Formats: sequence, C-alpha cells, structure tokens
Amino acid sequence: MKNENELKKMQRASLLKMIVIAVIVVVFVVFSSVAWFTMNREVEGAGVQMTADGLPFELEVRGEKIENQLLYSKIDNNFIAGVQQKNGEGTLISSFQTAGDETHGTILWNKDASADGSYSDGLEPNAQGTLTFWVVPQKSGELNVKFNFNVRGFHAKYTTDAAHSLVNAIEITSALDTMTAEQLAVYDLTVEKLPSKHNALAYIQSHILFFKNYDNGHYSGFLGNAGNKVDFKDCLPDGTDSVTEGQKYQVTIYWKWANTLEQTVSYADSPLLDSTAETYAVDRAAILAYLADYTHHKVFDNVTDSVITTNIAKLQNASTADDKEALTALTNKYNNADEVIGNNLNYILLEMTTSTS
Amino acid sequence: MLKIIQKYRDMSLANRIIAAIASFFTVAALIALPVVAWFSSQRKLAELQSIKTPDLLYLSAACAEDVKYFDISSIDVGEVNSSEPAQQLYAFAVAGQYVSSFTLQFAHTTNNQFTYRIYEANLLTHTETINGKTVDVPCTTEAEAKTAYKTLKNPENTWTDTDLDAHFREDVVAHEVNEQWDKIEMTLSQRTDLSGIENVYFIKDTCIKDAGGYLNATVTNEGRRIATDKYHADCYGEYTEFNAYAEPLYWQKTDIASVKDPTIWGAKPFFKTFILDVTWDRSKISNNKETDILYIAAFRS
Repeated sequence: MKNENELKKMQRASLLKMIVIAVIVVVFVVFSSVAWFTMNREVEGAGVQMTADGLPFELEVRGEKIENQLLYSKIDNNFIAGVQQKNGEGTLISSFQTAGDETHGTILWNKDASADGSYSDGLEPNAQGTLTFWVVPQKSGELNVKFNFNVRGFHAKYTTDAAHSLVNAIEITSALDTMTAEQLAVYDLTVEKLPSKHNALAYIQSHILFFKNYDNGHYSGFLGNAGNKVDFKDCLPDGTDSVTEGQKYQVTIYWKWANTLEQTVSYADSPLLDSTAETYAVDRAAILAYLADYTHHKVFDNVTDSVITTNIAKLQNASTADDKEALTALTNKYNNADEVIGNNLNYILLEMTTSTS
Repeated sequence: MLKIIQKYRDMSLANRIIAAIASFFTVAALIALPVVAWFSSQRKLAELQSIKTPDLLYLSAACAEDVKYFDISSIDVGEVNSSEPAQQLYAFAVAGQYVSSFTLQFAHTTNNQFTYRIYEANLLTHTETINGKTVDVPCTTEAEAKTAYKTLKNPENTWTDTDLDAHFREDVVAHEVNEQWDKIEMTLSQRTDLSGIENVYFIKDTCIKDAGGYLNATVTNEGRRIATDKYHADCYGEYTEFNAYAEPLYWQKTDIASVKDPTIWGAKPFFKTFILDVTWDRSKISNNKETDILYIAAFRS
C-alpha cells in the first residue's frame, strides 16, 4: 500500500516535471522568434504592413480579351480568371481582381479588345505591347510593393494534320536537362535540341525590353538594368507618397521586341528612343550597359564576350565610323539570335510578380 | 497519461532524447507552418503569347532546284543580220515555307542595253485520262508543249507552223528538271507532281515587270536607260566618282500571291516560278560586251 502511494506520488511529480519542461521549451521558442523579429532592423523602419491579414493590396485587370485564353491549361494552369467585379448598381463589369484565397492569387491578364500586343500569327521581331493593371490598396497609407516582369518560355508539340493544334507544352527550364529520353520524347524533344531551347529562352528574355513610358513611337524609362522591376512608388503621381484604400492606381508598362540592333541602340530608322527627349542620354547608356552585360543578358548568338565588350564600347562614342564597325560586327548576331528564338520557342508567358521587398 | 509516463520511463536514455527532439520539432513545425504560408502570398498576372516561326524563302532554279542551275551568264546576242530573235528567257523560282504573299525585288547595272521583263510562269500541261480520271500532266516533249501552247493561245487555229514556232519561242522556256535543292528541307507537293519527269516547259503568265517600272530610272538623250541620283547617297554615301552605268536600277513588286488558290493550298511549302525575259537591240550591243550584275531578292510582304 505504501509503495503504491509512493509510486503515484513519484508519477505525479515526474508528470509535473515534464509539464514544466514543456512550458519552458515553448516559452523559449516564442522568445527566440520574437528576438529574431526584433533583430531584423528592416522590419522596424520599412513600414511594411506585416500584419497577419494578408497582402495590403490587390491587382485588377480590365477588358474583354485574354490572349490565347484557351491554351493556359496546357501552359500553366495556375492562372485562372480573376474575381469579376461589380459596378455601383451591382451588375458585373469586365474588371477582374486578384484575391487572397488560394485560387485567385495568380490570374489571367485581361486587356481591352483594341489594346496592342495582339498578334494572331504569333510574335516576331518588332512586336510590341502594353501591359496595364490597377493596384487596389486594401488600406490607406504607404504601400511598399515592387512589380517584377519576367519572360517564361515554352516548347510545344502540335498535331501533324492541317489543324496544327496544340498537343502539349513544356516549360524550358533546367529541369529539362534532368529528364530521360523517353520523358523528352513525349514532347517531341531530344537531348540534342535542348541547348538551342535554353539559348532561345535566354535570347528572348534579353530581346524583349521593358519600358515605363511610351510616347508617339518612342520609349523611355528603360527597366532592363533594374532587373525589369518597377517600384510602385515611382508610378504614383508626383508629390504623393501614400495611397488611399479602395482607390485604384493604374500602372502601364510597355514591352518591345526590338527588330534589329540598330533599332535597339537608336541608330538610323525607327529608333526606340527619342533623341530629342531629356531622358535620351540616360536611357541609351542604360541600354548599352544592358547589351554589354553578357553575364546576365544573352543578346547575341555565337559571339565571344570580348567582341561584345569592344563593340558596345564603340557604340558609346559619338563617332559614326566606330558605330558602323560595331554594328557590322554585331547586327547579324542579333538577327541570328532572333532566328534561334523563332525556331525553338513556341510560347512565352509575360509574367508579372509582386514583391514587398 | 500515466501509461505514457510509464513508457517514457521504460525507454533507454537514447530513446528518451530522440522522443524529446521529435516532439520539439513537431511543435516548432506547427508554429512555423502558418508563418511560412503568410510569407509566400503574392500576386501574379500573366499574358500568354505565341511566337511565330521565321519565314523561310529561297531563290532557286525554276523547280526549286539548286540556284546554280539558274545560269544567266554569257548571253549570245547574235550577229546584226541574224534571223534569230533577239530574246532569251530564263526561269527561276521563289520557294520555301508558305507565305500568303511576298515581294520580289530586281536590281541591275546598265552597262549593257538589255531590256528586262519579268513574268509569272505556269507549267505547260495537257490533259490525260489516267484510271478514268482526267488530270493535267506536264508536257515533257517539245511537240506536246507546242500542241498545248497552240490550244491555249490559238484555239481558232489560224497560225501557220512558222507563226507557232515564233510565238512559242517568245513565250515558252524549256527547263531540265534536276533534283530538289537539298538546302530546302521541305516536302514540296509540286515536286511530287514532277517526279520521274525530266523536261518541263514554262509559259509566261501575267507580266509583273514590263520594260520600265524602275524606282530610279531615267532615259538619256541617246535613249539609254540609266539610274537617276535618287539613291546616290544610299549606294555611295558622299562618293561622287563613279561610272553612271554602274549605279543599279531598282524595281520591286509587293504582294505577289504565292499560290493561285490559298484556301485549297492549305499553307504547305510552295515554289512559284518566274520567267526573266531579256531582249536587246542588235545594233546597240555585240558579243564583245561589258558585264552586268543582276540582283533578285524575295521576302515576305
């Protein structure tokens, strides 16, 4: 009897001990998380609304038209139509928003039926388009968000009959290099074709240029050197720093697949930049720096790095003779890269991702 | 509860440590999961665009053969009193992946006073009944070709044999069919129709370029056609010392349809044949002559 009581006492004691240890561990974990948060200085000053109730904004797109709408399921079925909005009277309008639920974070890009960037036969060099969306803040105050533009490439397999319809498509990523021959054959791919596919993706990512402004046939505000990122603060009207909840702020970004190297460096006919604009010098220097940065941007096909460096440097001088030499050396390499794109890529996804850092 | 404590007690020290670590990680994971989910929320928009495959057009010999068979060197202009017509016909083709229409450009120097005309060309065919069906079969001999030509151009049968020969020589060019150019790596259905055939005849169809039609031509006092200074700067920059006959004359025609009936054709690779008609005046040119360079270019328009 006495042993039993003693046993029970001991068991209760050890149970108590375990509870105490558990409580200490939990408290320790909580304190260390809090400590980590406070250690991070950025959190203090940034004013980012890192509250638990989701992102402080939604995105809205408007219009009746979605490019290649029926093909998304074969390309990337994470993109679905946004949440359709209603107007004051409660009727549905062609505005579509993202939402914080699981399905509406990534939505299709609606556009006005008459908007440019619509090529029924497919994109080719000299193609251009506009990407318009609205930011809908969910609370007033400062809004810290950046928009990242990205081009993803896809290889597609088609039926061999006259209908030429899409059978399947696969994204061109490094994952392709790990696939077996049988897995590649599903898409009519072979291991020999992969290097050209990777090159084609790198070329299109460098040949499509993003700009903040477009006016009367000319672009300005080149975004390429900023990693194709736009800070929302730069899109607000001058003098404003904070946003009002529920008010919609339009952001428009322009993209262009430059036709020739001459056009890209604003030489001769139909240059990208307006030589009389204030922003001309800055933009041209930015574009040349972009072209010269062969580590990050693959613009030219089958040319050595030193040839790129020397010739882009020549384009920086004001000398016409230097310009001509440089263009002679590089213009065919640009065009050949375009041909690699045309022969190896079937679809591209112009994707915009938001980031709060 | 007591059973758990009993089990705990029964475990060895090593197992106890393992159990403690496992339960810690479980708790930590439970805390971490909602945190990570909140960090990864972002918004994405995407626009899907297709990429057009590049055009692929070639300038080839008349039936999509290697362009080396298009040989226009060494024209024999003949003696002044020769009875041969002062005319020579050459056939070439624009071949490649289907485009609905294309632009043809022609440029040449003017050292020799040749007159150039370009015509669209059709294959001379005659009807045959094969397996009960009437089909159009290319003419392979001169006799067949002449008969077909006469049926086409002189159905009321008013020509003499001499007339027929003269007209035939003016409008029709013979062509020896060689194998398809290996550079054109496409199946050309028109070539399949020509399999096994060695000689064909092309007849002039629509004239797309008559004697003139140049973008920068003028006629001198002696009646020679030479280039104006419209494209001086583009050709020579600021250089001014050059031979007036070396500056090229330019001609182009846009929107030439690739096939007669696009809806039936169905966007397959094609080739379209043209005839280059060179004529001259024997009093103005002899075989002891200068050299001219001709340029022909084609691209999708």
